[in-house]
Amino acid sequence: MKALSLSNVRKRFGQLEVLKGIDLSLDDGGFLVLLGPSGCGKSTLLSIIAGLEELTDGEVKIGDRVANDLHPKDRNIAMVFQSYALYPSMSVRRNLAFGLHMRRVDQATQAEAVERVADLLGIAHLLERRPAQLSGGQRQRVAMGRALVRDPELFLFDEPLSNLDAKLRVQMRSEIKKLHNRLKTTIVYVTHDQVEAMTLATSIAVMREGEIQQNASPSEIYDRPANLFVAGFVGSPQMNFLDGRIVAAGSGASLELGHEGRADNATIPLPPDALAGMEAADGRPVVAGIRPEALFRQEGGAGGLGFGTKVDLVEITGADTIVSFTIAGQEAMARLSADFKPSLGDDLTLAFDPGRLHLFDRETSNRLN
Amino acid sequence: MASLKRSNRMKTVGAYAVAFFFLFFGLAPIVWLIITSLKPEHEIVNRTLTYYPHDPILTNYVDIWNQSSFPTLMMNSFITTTMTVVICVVIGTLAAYSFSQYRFPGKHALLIFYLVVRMFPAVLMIIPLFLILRAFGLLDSHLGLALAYTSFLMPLFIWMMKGFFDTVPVELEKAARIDGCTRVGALVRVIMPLVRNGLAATAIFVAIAAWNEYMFALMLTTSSGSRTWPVGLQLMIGEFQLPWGLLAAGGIISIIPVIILFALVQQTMVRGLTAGAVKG
Repeated sequence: MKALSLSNVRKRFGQLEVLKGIDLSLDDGGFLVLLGPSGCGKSTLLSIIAGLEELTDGEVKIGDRVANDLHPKDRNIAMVFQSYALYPSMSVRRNLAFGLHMRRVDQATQAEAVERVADLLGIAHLLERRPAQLSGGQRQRVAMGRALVRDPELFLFDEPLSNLDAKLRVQMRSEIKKLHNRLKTTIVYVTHDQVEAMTLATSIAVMREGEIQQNASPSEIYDRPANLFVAGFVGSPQMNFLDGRIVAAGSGASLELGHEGRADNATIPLPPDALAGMEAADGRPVVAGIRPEALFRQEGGAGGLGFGTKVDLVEITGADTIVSFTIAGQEAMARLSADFKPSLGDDLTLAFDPGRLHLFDRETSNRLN
Repeated sequence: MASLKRSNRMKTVGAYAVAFFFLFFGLAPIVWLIITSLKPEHEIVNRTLTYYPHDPILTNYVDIWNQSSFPTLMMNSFITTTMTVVICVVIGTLAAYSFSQYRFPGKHALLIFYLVVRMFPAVLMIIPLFLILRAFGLLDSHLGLALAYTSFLMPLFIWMMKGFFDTVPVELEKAARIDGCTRVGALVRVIMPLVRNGLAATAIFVAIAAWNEYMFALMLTTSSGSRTWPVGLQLMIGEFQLPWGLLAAGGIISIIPVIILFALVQQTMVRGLTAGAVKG
């Protein structure tokens, strides 16, 4: 059963259209991440699912009910906010029980549910405190507890980890993951952090300017980004984008990097399957995308899918060495193993697996191969 | 070194001098009122000024309470003030909350309009108000006077309460709505407890303004059935007599409720008024 389905959801604020026809669905027990830069409409979409914001057009179905006109309290959802939105005047216990209290659940059941969730999240010793007396991580737990205690059909998370420091964020991220695995809850999660999206989601919807760019599994988003925006947004350091052209030569084709007619262009011969699924028109302008981590050092000179270059800059992160270089007049980066410590200006031969080459149309920016 | 010390001391002395001057300026009339209220008639109207009552008496207090309509005046003031505060709290709170938390067409224009209303001198508003109240048969009634008061106190109330509501994060209402509240339910259960200091402070501001108001009360009330104490006290000044002692006693009695209110909620009020500045 679909836990959530959105069809053609639109939202307009005056003249400004912030959601331009969103279609999405989520299976029971799924973890959908809405990923995108700020202002892409992801939080508005979440508010529409929650019923806090009215939609201009389209349909929201939660479970098998059309929820368009349902009050938030009747949608059987729970939400965790970026600012936690704990009720400052109430103790943690009251905060957790408030939703049950409003639904006229009897006292004994309330107490039992609160204890269960407090144990689950390790906040049992904080029940009598006020939110102001809690640390950021503890508030975050209480906010999650408030959602969990009601056992709703759908959980909505609105950038829940962005107010935490880096270390705590990683810790809470894995806790959310564990909770999801254990409780099999259905979650819609909004974030602009691609690492959160990649690690948590069963499905990611990448959004930009009110439209979904791609909705797929994390590995698909990473391995086969649908367009330049998705390719550039997911992955760190960012994917290298190199302007070039497809050049047909006899039976095979090659990729000529650089702008037409320049002397420093590099030509990389492509194996036949590298262009599978695309019309290999001769001279077609493309953007070639290669992730920094897809590049590796090739010993023994250029050849195959390799090319020679020089080291422009070296950044040593400890875990790996990031080398900047120039190819065909365009800057690029390679993420190489940590034991490789080149000096500036060293000669370097890099190569990549043809399966990890992404080709995009230079005009539409859509994926070609 | 020595000159620096001396100049610092001079500054301190100067600062205290200014402070004491204004303290004297503010308190002296009240102290004089208390002294006057305790003097017998012959000590008040005398060629030689006495700075303290030689034989202090309470007759002025007893007389104004027993032999004039002063208790009725106080009661009228109390009813009118209560009505004003209730109207402001109920309507003003809802209005201030929506101004603070919601977006709707004309919001800013309306807010500015409330401010503009306050810029007109009260005299300008009295005649139209008089005509309106007469048309509705509300002249010389508690409700009429209370409504007249809200015309200039409501904008003040809304602007002050909006300031307090502005400090409340918008997510709280959303969280409460998802937890099962309606919008009004969220306001009452979750938001109001957070702004209750501000509400107390604002309500007391309104109460004191309504309690002490003189000009509207003078124009819009005609009988002892609705006349408030500032007007009643003024009317006790007759053509041939000026009962200083009684007036002073009346003045003192009428500021007692204000003092009690202040004493009760002083801490809350200070916390409320500074809440916007220092966010807890």
